[in-house]
Amino acid sequence: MPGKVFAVVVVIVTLAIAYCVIAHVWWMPVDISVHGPNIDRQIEETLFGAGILFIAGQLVLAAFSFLYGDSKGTRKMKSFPGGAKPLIIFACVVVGIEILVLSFVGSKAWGSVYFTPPDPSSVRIDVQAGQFAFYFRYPGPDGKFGPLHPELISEGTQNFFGLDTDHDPDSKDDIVTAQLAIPVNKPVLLTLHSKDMGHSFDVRELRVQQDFVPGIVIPIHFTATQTGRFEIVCTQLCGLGHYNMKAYIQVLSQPDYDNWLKQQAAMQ
Amino acid sequence: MDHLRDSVPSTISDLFRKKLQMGFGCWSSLLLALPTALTSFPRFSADRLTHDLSWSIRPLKFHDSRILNEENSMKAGYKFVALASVLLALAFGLLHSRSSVSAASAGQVTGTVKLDGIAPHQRGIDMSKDPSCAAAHKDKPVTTENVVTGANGGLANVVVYVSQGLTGNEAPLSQPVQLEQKGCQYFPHVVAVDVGQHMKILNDDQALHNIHPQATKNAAWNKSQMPGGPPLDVTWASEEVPVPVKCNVHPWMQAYIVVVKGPYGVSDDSGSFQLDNLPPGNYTLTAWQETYGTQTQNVTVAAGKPTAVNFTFKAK
Repeated sequence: MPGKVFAVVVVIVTLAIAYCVIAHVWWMPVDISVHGPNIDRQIEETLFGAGILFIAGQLVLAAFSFLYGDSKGTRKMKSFPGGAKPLIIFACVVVGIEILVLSFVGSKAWGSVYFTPPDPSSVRIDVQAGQFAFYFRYPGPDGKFGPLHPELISEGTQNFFGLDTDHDPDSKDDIVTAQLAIPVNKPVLLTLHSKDMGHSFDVRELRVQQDFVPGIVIPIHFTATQTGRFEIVCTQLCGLGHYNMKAYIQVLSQPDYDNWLKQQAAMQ
Repeated sequence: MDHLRDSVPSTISDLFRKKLQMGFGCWSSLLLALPTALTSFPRFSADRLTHDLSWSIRPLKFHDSRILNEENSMKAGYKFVALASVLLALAFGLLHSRSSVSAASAGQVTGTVKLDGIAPHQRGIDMSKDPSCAAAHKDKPVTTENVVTGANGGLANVVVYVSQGLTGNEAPLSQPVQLEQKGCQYFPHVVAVDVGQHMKILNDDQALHNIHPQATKNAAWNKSQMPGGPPLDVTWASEEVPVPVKCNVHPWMQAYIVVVKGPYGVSDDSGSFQLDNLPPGNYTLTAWQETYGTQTQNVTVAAGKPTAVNFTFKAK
């Protein structure tokens, strides 16, 4: 009896999970980036391939449990032809091939994001992560970022990046903000650096996620295709305030973006 | 970790220990005198007990000269011990006693701190990363408070304290000071506190705060406070001008705790400050401002009439 019950439960759970995934019951938010469709397509292909194997495996398990799970041990058990060693080799080969295929096929999506150089006319924004907030810096009218001096960082006077506006002319027109705004349909290049430790920049709708590594400046680039206000969340555990570490990104039309930048410059 | 004892929140044992210290003069005399009193009565002397275990039944012969001599020498010995313990207790009590200035002989210093020039532009604070903080300031935007000026060029948040001239015998002020976290800002922005004076730290926000005084002479510490949690109660063991305070969760929050010995005053928006309970004498007063640093002035305080002292800081 237990064997049959187990089989029925396995079938029900498997079908429920399959339904949730196929019907996108709890799914990713709508994609708003140019490279997003590549990534989404790859996720669907992977889930399709793995899903078929998953459902098949569970149904086979349920079938065997239903048919032979309650036998009293009088049947002679059949085993894999050749015994244990060929079985293990077979499993390694089959799973290995599956992983390699996924890697090769998936590398196209990866390459379209990480091995494609950024557009030279990208809007450049500097991003700094520190416990427990993100701050952003725009180069200003001169298009150049001033050098950073970590020893001059003074959060009480709003000098989050450690700029020396008295001695570095490039720093004078840098615009430092607590919110990120980008123009829609324009390539954007972010340079990520960390003030203290590992954090991560993640915007789900943009299909962008990149860890901050202290000591390295990491570039990421993307183009947003829809306007709106989205969350940037830290997805690398960084301490007691990690749960609260976020900032907001606004994708604005070009005129709105220009206005916003003017307002921020006036507040420096 | 003894050095942490006085600058982390007090516990019940902490309060009990302080009470014990202050009353030690009284306690020691009692503790020393009691056995002395008990043993000075001849009936309870060990000699007599060992001599005759049934001494309570046998009548005592007070006229026996042998017994009288023994009693007299013992009495003299116990008298000496009793006197010595009382004197010791008195001396100990005096050593640990602290004086507080009586109202009649207290002097006062009042004055104004002014800023000569234009205060530097205070930048707006963007609290969008924490919506509960941003919601508290929907209507009124918030700026930094590095230089706060008021009517007639008065400079606020300047701490005026006595840097020289105190005898070191003053008891810490008993009234606790308060540091509040409200709207994701510290109120007041600059708070002065006496060494050993209690400080209460409250969280009035719906957000988690983690207050982090970056002390160098005192032990540095940080402590989280959940919304609706109990206030912290801390004391400071050493003078330190200043102790910068930051919140580990909200980077824009900043305050200064100025730990001094003796009377102090913090200037308000109009620049006026007041130091009370200063014994008459010659002192050096120091005024500290977070951007402009310190200035000193010598002053003579007399009983009854307040002494006027003014400071002027030059804007860069």
